[in-house]
Amino acid sequence: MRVATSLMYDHAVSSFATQQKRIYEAQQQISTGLKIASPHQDPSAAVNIDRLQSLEGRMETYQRNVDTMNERLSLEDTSMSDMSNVYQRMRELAVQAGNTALPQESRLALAAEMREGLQSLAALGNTINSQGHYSFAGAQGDQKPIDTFEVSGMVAASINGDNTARNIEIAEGRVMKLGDNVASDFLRTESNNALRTRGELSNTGSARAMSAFVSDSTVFSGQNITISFDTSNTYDVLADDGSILLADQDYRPGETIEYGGIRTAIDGSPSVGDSFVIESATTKDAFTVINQLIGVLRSGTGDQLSAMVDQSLTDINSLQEKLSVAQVEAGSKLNSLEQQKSNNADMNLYLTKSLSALRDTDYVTAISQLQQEMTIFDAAQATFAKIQQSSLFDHI
Amino acid sequence: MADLLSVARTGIVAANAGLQTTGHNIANANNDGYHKQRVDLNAIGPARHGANRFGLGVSVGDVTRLQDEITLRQRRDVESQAASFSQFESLGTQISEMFGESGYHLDEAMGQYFNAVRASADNPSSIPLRTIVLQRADEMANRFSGLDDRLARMESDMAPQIALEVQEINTISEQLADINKQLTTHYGNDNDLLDRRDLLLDQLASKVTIDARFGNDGEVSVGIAKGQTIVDAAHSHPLRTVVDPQNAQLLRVEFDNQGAGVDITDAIEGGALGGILSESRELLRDTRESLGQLAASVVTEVNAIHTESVDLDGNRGQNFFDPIITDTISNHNNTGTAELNTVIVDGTALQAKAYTIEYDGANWSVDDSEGNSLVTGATLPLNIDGIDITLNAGAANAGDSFYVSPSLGAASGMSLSIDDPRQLALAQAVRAVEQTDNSGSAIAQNITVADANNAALQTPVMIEFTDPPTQYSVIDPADGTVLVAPAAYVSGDVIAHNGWELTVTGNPAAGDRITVEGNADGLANQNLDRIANLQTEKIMAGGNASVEEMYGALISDVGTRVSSAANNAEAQGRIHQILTDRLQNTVGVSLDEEATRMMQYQQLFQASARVIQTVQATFDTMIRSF
Repeated sequence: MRVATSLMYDHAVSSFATQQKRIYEAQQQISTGLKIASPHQDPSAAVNIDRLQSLEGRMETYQRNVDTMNERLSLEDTSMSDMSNVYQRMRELAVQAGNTALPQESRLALAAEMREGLQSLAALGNTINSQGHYSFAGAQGDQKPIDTFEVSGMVAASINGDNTARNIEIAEGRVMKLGDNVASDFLRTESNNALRTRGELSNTGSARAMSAFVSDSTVFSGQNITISFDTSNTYDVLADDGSILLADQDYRPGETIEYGGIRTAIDGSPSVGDSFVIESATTKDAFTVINQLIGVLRSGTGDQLSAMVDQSLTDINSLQEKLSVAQVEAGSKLNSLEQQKSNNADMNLYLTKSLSALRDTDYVTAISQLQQEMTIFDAAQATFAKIQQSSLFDHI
Repeated sequence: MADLLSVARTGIVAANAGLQTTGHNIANANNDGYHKQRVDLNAIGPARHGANRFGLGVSVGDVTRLQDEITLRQRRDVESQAASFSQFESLGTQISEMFGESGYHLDEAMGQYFNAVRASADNPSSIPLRTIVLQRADEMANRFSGLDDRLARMESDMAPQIALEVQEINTISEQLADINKQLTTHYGNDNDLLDRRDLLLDQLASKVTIDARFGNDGEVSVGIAKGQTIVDAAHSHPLRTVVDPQNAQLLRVEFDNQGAGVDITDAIEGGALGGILSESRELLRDTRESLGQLAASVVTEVNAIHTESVDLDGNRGQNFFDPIITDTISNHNNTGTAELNTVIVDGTALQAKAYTIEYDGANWSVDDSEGNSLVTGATLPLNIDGIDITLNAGAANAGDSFYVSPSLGAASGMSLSIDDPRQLALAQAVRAVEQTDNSGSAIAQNITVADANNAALQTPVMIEFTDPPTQYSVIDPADGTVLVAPAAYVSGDVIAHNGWELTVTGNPAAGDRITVEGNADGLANQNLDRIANLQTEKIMAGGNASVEEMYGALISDVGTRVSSAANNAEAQGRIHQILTDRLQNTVGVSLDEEATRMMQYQQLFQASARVIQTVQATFDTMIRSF
């Protein structure tokens, strides 16, 4: 076989070029620490890397969400524990109040402490989290869930909230609800002789009514009544059918209004034609439960008081139970968050490993590869230099 | 005696010819395309001397050129393919590397955007978190448009290269035509001219796949594309470039058929030009179309949820991203003034297609690039494949036509529409809240927006259960006016009003109320996870792939095409090398061989000279003997 002289040079040129390219690639891997710099070097690995990196990014967010949830729920848990302590104290006070031998001053003292207890309850219900939102207001986190107002020496409250939960992703496909634990749910319980007090939708004045309660169950007949202002400083008490039960009573803001064993108080300035409906209902809120006891403590007979203490203790227990359920829910969420956090951490570790295997340079392989390529390059250069020295022309 | 002298003289002549040829071979040893030449020597027939015949020496025959026409032809074909692949590889690698560059990591930007949305879940009213969402969205939009712009620039950057290749093809054609002329007019073999011809053909083959046919005198005719003859005897027919009527940034290639241009752009194969015009353009186009589909899907899906939601101020969401609008290109023969554009309304339905829109005086019709009629209608807008084709201005005349490729460049059109973080709409437009003092157990569930365009959607209303609680009515919370007369209540029934729908379950008590109202000042985020879920939800490719998966498919498509082009280029390069080796081993010059030949001819010369000397000496001896 003949070998053309130019061929030897051509081969040398192309093999040097190839070898240099290989050395460059090996060096590139080592200096960047990455096996794959662009997709064409290994398309399927590139796609997997993208997928894993995206998952890694999501895991980071999930883990942050877990931490935030943890903080929120821990705060809720603490506040609810404190509320439970308030209930505990209220129960002790109620038991003391059941002692019919107590002098009036002691009763008033008990009533005063209960009143303070309600203030604490309101403050705890209005707990603000690190984001500046009310913890127990649900989706209405910028509005006070427990709006208290003083009326007739009692702490009346309207409890608001929107239990529309926020969905927080804490893992791939796992959503945890936040903000569904609202004061308007757990500060309210089913009870006997419960009443609902509502201003009519058409009211235009600023007057508002304290939640009515049954102060004397022996008189209470179960009938609904309406307090209707025929002028801005007098009111009528009407029956369901519109008949007048009490006419033209003088209205003094904040003063107790009592009819047929039902007690309420209205504060503010009503407009003519405004009315408040008091009707039978099934639930009472925590404030009404304590207010009914305070009311009787201040001005009730012994019989009335012991009946009310019994009712209140039942109500407080039932409120305590509602609170416990909410607390247990928060607690179990905290547990599963803990679990999820460690699952996420495991997942992260796995992702880091998988990513590293796909993406990162294996230095041992890469360096020995570089060594090998350089050896080949050296050998190619040396042999070429040797071969091109020998020419027949040298001998002529 | 005189005979022997002339025999020796032929030997000298032959040795001279041999040395001359060897010298020529040595001189051209490094000349590309040079074919080794050889002197054919023939013994001169014998003269009769009585019964004996004596040879009369040697005559110099043709100087022939060693040839391996088959290998040369094979190598030319391989050259075309290898050039095409390596041209494609070099551009493809640029694209692939671009996707690998940190500034162009689209998946990273998308991930950061969706994660920013996710991270704001627990505190949807936080302005800093909202600002991050907007910044990430802006970054994502910038990367989409940045990638597309760069791909478009790569495409338009190819124009000068196309022009250059075409110019070189024309130059080579002219030279070949010139050589043809010389070959047919010269007498005898002109080896060096043939070498030149073959070298030019090789160069031409590296530009474009050719079909070369040879005549008796070695003249060549060259055909390309669909048999367009660019060199024919002593004539060359130039190619020319024209601006693509559908994209002013691009060039198309025409064959000049006696003044009339024949578009051969799509028929050109192989060589550097083929590599640019087919594979490279295809990859750029496919990549841009996929990017466009991806961008359009994100834009329309996010916008759909965003406009259905309410922002921090309780206002209905505006478009989160600007709608992607593409102007159509009017045919230059149009006589009307109509200007059309397309608006992408459903990115997930967007096809990687081009459309031709024609007006026949009464009806508009939309055809795809294969000429299939897709939709017709008397008036615009027409909707097809997730785009609305709308009349922007003017009026069309019969026969007017328009061209548009909405997915191409859609990614460039991605931009953030809102700039105030408060405008980020994450909450559902309406909420249903049970009155806290309700006595019954009825709860409202699954409130959804059925008609986002209902003007009264967010008007507050109350659902009130009447006594007995087997009926409900819808009332106005401002004054108690009954809006919907009492209707029968069944637990689990859907109650719909003002464009919303909800399900009420449980047993209400008489007088219980559920308020449905605009979702204002809320920390609600019902629609936030719908947006975050767009990252992994299978919304594209007919519900079979998520945005991320489609991006993965795009990356792997680019990567695979480029790496297979690299493999092909390498394989073809190797075959090219093998063929070159074979060819060179036959026709190439080996200096050692030539050195041997040189000595051989030198010795022939010396020997022949010695014969002359011998004749001389013999002659002298004879003279002296007289």
